[in-house]
Amino acid sequence: MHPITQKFGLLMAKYDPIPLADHIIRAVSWTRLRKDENENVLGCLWQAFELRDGERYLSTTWREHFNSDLVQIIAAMRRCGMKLTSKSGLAHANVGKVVECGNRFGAKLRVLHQPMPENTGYVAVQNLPHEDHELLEMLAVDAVVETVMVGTIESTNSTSAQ
Amino acid sequence: MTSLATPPRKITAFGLEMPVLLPSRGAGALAEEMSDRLKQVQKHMITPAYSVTKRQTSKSINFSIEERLFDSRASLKVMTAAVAMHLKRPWRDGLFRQLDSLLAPESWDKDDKLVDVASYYTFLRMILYVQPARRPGLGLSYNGNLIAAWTVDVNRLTVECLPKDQLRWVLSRSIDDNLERVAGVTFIHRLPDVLAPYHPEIWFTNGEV
Repeated sequence: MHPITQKFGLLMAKYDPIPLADHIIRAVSWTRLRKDENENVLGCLWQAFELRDGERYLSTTWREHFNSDLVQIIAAMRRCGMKLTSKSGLAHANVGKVVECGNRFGAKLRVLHQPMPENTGYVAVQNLPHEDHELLEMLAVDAVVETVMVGTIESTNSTSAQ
Repeated sequence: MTSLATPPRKITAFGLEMPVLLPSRGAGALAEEMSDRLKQVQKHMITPAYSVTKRQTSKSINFSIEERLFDSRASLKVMTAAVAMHLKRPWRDGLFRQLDSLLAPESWDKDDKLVDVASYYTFLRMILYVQPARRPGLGLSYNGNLIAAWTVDVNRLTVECLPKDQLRWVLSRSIDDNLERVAGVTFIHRLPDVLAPYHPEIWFTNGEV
């Protein structure tokens, strides 16, 4: 359980930062994957890291919390109500690089473990600016170390289970 | 007092604002040529087919997502067909395949918005104006704006097509072993100028450069 601290009269949960060497995984829909003209997936668009209207932080999942078991991570994401299809991508970003990208643009990004019953590895990236497109592009290019398709993970898993 | 920098806006037969913003006059032969090309685009974009498409889209709000996606794909293809004479057949066929893939029910996320017609309008006009030999990869923003992305190694150009000829562009370009990143918002007729320092032919030509 996380200790509750009181600040300015509000009760606030204290969340742990994710180690800089670890990774967070962002689910990216097919429409926000970067593709070439022949539909080959090349990574993700900067829009994959854009906050929607009303969103206060970026939702991700801590890879190492699940021992990098992507099948478990997909299951946890689906329990949270995400629609992950075979054409969805999972963008793996290094936490240290995420923080570094933020620093270069004057944004003090905080990558915090905020477990929830459906996804115990849930991580929120806080203080992400809404309108800094260069920072979002840098996250998509520099912080993301690989993008893996859900279909590839599931087909590999079903093959190995047989 | 009317600003000299803002061209007067006109209303078309379909109640839309004049869809193409023209560059300022008096800048020489190049400006004349650009102006003529935009007028050509404008002439072909105002078609009865477009107005029919728009009505179908607004009616389909209560339909299932499969039906709405089907309608959206059909609408975008009809809009494209109105300017098909300016697109090479393989280019147009490839674009249709990309639209089918982008708007496929099996990969559709419930949080996605359908392609905004005004955004696709801007996309088509940008394509006709820039005339890239290489098709972009397509994406969609949370607001339903179409995204055109060209990628050559580490060189990335991403253009989000906003309504009314506006483009939000972000690029990463390797120049002298340094990766430069730039972002901005501009109008279609300004895109070649704002991209010129980054040698955009690396994205737009068909792999020769």
